[in-house]
Amino acid sequence: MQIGLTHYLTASGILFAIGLAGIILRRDMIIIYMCLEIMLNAANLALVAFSRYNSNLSGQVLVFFVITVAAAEVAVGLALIVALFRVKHSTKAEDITLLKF
Amino acid sequence: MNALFVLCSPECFLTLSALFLLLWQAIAKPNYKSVGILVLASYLISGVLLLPFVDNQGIYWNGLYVWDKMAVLWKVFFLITGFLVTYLSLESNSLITKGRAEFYTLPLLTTAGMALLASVRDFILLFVGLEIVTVSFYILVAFQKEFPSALEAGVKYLVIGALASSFLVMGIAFVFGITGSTQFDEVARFAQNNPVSTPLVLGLIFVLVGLGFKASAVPFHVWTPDVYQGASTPITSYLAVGSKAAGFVVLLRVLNLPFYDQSFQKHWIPLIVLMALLSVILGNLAAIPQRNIKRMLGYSSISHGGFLLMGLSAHNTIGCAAVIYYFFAYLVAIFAAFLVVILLEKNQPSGISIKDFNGLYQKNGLLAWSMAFAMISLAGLPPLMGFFGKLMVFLAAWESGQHLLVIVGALCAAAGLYYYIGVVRAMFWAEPETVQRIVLSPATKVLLWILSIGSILLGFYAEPVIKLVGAVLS
Repeated sequence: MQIGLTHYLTASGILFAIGLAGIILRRDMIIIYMCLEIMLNAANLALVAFSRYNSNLSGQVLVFFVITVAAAEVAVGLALIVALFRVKHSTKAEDITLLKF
Repeated sequence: MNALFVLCSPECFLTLSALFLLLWQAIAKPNYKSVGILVLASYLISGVLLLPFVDNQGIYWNGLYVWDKMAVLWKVFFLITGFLVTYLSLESNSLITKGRAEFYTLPLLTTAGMALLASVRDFILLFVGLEIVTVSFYILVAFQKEFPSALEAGVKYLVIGALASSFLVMGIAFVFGITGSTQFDEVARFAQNNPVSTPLVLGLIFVLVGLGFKASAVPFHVWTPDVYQGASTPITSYLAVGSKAAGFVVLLRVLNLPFYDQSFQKHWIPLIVLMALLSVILGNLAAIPQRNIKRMLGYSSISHGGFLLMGLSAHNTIGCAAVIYYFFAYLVAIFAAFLVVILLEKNQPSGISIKDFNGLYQKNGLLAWSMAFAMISLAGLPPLMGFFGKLMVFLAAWESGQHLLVIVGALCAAAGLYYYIGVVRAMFWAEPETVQRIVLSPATKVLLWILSIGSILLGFYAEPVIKLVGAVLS
């Protein structure tokens, strides 16, 4: 069987769906954050596959930017979650209920 | 393309001054107040440096970056926003206990990202600019890390923001995959010569989801009230004006160039109309029972996002001009309102509810009148700026045939009067618990006068502003 663009896009779509489902269903901030990274990487996979089959490198350039930005986001995000853990002694989503209607 | 032009652009100048100020703080440990004044000075200098290049026109770096009149106008808008945010931060310095100097310096980087977004012409630059703004906002929102509410707001903003950016990247991936380019002109050319396929529409929808988060349009608004309430007040005003404007400047660019073709328009116009409808309805109705003023302004910001989307849904020049005028009206009113909230917070750091406005007129007349003008302008009553903004948006949407949208919008604006006038009524007709005069510094008095008079004057004489905006767009 020849592995083609469709296969890569299907894998990327499945990863994206797994990430989205995780964000909606899981209750721990760290796991939710991991799921966000899965979604970003699903998008990266789609970009690389498209770039390869279009033989156009600008998609892969964007992937480098996405990886860099994701690293910055993780640095800030984990710092925030650690700071929250210090105050609340929990990273569970159901404990973050100070601001609500 | 000369080096001087690059150095003088706000994005470069602000980044360099932010780096310089951060290094200076690390080495010399200066007084935080002098850092704040230097930040204010860098916004002013950046504005002056912009002057020689106002008439420049051009597309640079293989179509990555565009410099036109609209870009200049938005850069000026973001510089004014940054300047006022820093002034508000200096005014509320008693609320920030740690890292005050960094708190003044970080918005320089955010403003640089926003200025970059004003001239995007490529999806790669769009993503990078949007992330500069978003990531620095994560830090700014959660800056008071000894307050659980600020941290909670930061984490909520982080999760929803990262979710929106992954949708944005996925959307860009599909647009790139089908059209073979990330450059706006190339995408537009592809749409003219080829049929628009389902994956391309999927890409368009994902990009709109990512940008809808910045514009806080329903159904991507869930973060707005919580983050507005939890963040420190100057940052809330920055989110309300700067972050929303950043979303809309990108929407203006994206919808008027790569997705401008008829075959795209028939897909995105219904989506924008739907988002606008839901935003005006939910924003105005949910604001009515709110007691916390920042939360109320959060819902009001959702409804203003709806009115602005109405202007976009008109997909013509009047609509775009209306959006830009509306933003200037919004800037004036929001900063006046938040300056008053900050001055009240000095005596009551736990948060201001509508009840705390009781009898403000007896405590300080200028404060009460400024807040009243801001509220009336936001509500859209004549003859203030907000009225003409709403009028233009409605006219543009009506002309393009969105009659239902305009009717619902007008009804919701009328419902919105209730909660804006509630604040005015508390200030002028309710009895205060204690009559304690509030003393203002001369600079704050001048700023309040400028914002109030500007809101009236530019409402009566809206013509020059609208002419300017029209000249920019033509």
